[in-house]
Amino acid sequence: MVAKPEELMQYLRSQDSDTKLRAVRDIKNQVIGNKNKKLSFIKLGAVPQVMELLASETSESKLLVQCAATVGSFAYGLDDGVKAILDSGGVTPLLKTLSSNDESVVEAGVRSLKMIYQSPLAPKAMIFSLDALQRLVQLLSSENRGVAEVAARVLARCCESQEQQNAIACAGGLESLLGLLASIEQTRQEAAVDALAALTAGNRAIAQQVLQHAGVVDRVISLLKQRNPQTRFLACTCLTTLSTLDDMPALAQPSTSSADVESAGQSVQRAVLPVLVKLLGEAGVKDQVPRVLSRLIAMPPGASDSQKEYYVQLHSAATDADAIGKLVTFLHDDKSSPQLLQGTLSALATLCEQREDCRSQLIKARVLPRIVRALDDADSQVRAAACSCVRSLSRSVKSLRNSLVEANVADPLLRLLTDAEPAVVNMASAAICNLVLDFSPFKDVVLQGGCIPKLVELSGAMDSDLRLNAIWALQNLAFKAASEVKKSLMQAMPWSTVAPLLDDHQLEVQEKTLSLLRNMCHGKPADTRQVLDWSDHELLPVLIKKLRGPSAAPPKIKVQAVITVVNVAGTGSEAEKEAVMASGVPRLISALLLDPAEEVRANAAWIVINLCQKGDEFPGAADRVQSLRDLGIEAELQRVLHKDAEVLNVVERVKTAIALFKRSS
Amino acid sequence: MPINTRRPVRDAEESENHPLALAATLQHLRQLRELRVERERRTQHLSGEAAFCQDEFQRFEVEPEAQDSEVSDADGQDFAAPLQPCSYLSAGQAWAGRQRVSRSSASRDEDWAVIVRLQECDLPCGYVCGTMCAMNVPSAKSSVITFWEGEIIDNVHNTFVTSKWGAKVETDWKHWEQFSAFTPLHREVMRSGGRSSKLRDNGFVFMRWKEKQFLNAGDDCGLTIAGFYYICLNRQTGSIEGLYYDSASTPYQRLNLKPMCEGGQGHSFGHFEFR
Repeated sequence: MVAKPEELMQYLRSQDSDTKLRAVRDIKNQVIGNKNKKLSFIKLGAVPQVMELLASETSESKLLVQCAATVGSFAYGLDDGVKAILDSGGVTPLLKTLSSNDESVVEAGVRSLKMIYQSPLAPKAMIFSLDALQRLVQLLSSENRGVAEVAARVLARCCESQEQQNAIACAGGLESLLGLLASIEQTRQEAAVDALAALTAGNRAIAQQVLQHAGVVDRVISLLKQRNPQTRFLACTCLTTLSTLDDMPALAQPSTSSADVESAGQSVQRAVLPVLVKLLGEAGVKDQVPRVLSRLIAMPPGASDSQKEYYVQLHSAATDADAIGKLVTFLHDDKSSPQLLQGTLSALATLCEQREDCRSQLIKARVLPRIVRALDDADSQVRAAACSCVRSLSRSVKSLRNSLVEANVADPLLRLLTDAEPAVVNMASAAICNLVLDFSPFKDVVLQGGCIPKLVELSGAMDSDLRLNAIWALQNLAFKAASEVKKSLMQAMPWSTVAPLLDDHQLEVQEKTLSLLRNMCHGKPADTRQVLDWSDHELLPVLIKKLRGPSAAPPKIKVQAVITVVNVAGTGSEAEKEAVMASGVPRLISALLLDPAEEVRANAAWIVINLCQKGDEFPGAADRVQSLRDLGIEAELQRVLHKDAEVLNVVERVKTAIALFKRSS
Repeated sequence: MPINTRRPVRDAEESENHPLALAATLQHLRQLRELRVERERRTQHLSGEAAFCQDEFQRFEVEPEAQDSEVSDADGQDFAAPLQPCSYLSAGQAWAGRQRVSRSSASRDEDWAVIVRLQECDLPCGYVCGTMCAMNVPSAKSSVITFWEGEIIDNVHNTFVTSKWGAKVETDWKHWEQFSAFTPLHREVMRSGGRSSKLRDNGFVFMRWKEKQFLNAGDDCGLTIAGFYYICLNRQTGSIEGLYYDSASTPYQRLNLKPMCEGGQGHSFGHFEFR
């Protein structure tokens, strides 16, 4: 016979300790695994009653054990239970049980905490107060295997910020967890890797500390073979973090495939990849897998050529394992959580960034409408990931022309340029860069949507990534743009806003700004004339300043500057050619012909070619040839011809230039 | 993919969704008959070479390593040296010229103005793409624009052997050898599985351009994109010679293009980058 809830509630208030103990135990037994019972006891006010007993100084150990277990049961899998606990004093009484002299009380307390901390509502910060943290860390080394494992699970749920991670590590948590990982028991290893994955996520310093302990990586790798998908997933998460550090030490058993050239981190990534891709099909963990996958395969900014090649191979391995096919199912599923969507879109964005075959596979899967819908998702991380997916899909002439045409990506992206979340604006502006290109079917829509003033505004942003995206988009927009488009750009962007970008502390911003000017002067003679007016005739002096820079200056800046001069001399009419002659450019040509960068040398020759081109429309050509000859440029060209004999693009241009001098003599 | 030299080329082309090159589908019976006669004539002409080409073909089959090797062949020839950049091979570069049939009997129906625009050039990957605009095509009402993708012959990603689009090995030789710039490379290319160690320092860049789709017209516009172009770019002058191949179209259609200075009166270079 089972006592009625109302009766049990009365017994809880009894003065007799045995009655109370029985009542608590009966309540616990009734609510375990029964959501309705939990709810009805919560309604009757059982939680504050039990919490009171738990907090009471006079309660005996047996009662404390039962109270702790009951509180945990109320919290397990039920947010209302957790709320009721928080409303009646929170976890403080439970944290106190950790300091009990009675081991059974400690065990019951920590188990109860584990159940509460599975809820996102749990007060994570509380364990960092009192000496609870110290106790939890001590428990990691407990002789009682259950206690150590449970303590690790509690700590694993309390790593939401770097401060929390650092506090746990400073309290000795890291060492103890590594000790737990070295245990021969699987459940303890699993709990340890859970906590290690959480402790190292996004925390470089702790991850580096982990790597200083020999054998850790091998131990975690061995967990990749466990049957439990959750364990495999946590091992993957942990290894993903560790493998992206530069100083990953060599493994005890290096993988046999080209281990001599491959870094240890890369071998680990190759080991993790197939496990993660397989986990995409595991219902229990799939929500979190794509996000980790996207971190694993993401190419770090500034990757070297050999790194790029490695990542392309890694992406091939992922697509060979049908990662795209599996990820796509999450997009087709309307019940996918925001976390799952964000991870999926990020992973797909990475896979499609470099490879046309991936782009066409994704397009063929007919998920474009879903991606476009995700651009308007309520979750800002989903919106940002959707933007980066669109960006990846638009990274070739072919896909831009063919694949994206049917989807209306332009309107939502334009809206996102004013999103409240800076990360979304950043990703949206990056995607816009591709949509404004000459051959983009969206160019007109984007222009009519008023993107020029918006991009100009963003080009003055404090955030340097945002500035780069904005000026990048303007550069692309000006490429082969119609004269009217150039005009509206000049109207929206006074020269006073261009000038600071030419001296931006980020060299890439300088480079793109020069490239914008280069495109502005690539078109009709009238365009170039207007650009010179727009700059109040500052353009040539600015370019000369960039070209006079030390020879150690980044070649990319000089290349853009020299080609802008080529374009002014090439598209301009006589007046612009004379302006170039009157500037300091002719005196610089000899130096440019000797520049270490091949592209600068070749384009120095193009300047000469454009200035010396003969014809009825160029009455001043003969005089210009003479002036350049007087500056010794013909002789310099002859020298370059011999010096650069191996460099085709220089030799070819120089030959053309020399021929123009000969014809004039 | 080995080419079945016995199989009618037409079958291979029909299996392609968008075969290539802008050429007139001759609509009049007279022209169709002429076409058939021409095809027969070519088949007879080729039969003399068949045994030789078959030999060549088998050489490629038994030497897959030679095809795949990234570094060098047995003679120590360096095939992997990347091509050198060329100012004309940059996105935005345009060329203007004509496509015409080189036979003296050619009708004026097979002669029109062409503008080609390069939209993407990835030299390290041997990839180019762009558009081709055919103007004043007698059988078409307005200009016809197609999108094409191209392969740069660089030994690594692409060799002189086409192995697709209905081109047999002998088709390749017959077309490449029409370019005088190919003559100095001919022997080595035949010996080395379609590769040449002289590409890096060569004054010419060889490519294949394959039209993929009509951009402003339907498939009924009177032109076909079933074939493809063999292309030879003169690095010094920027001029381009092309030869169209499609077994169903009039043979020896030639493309002659000169670099354009669009809008301006000299050379200028635009620039974009995908983000």
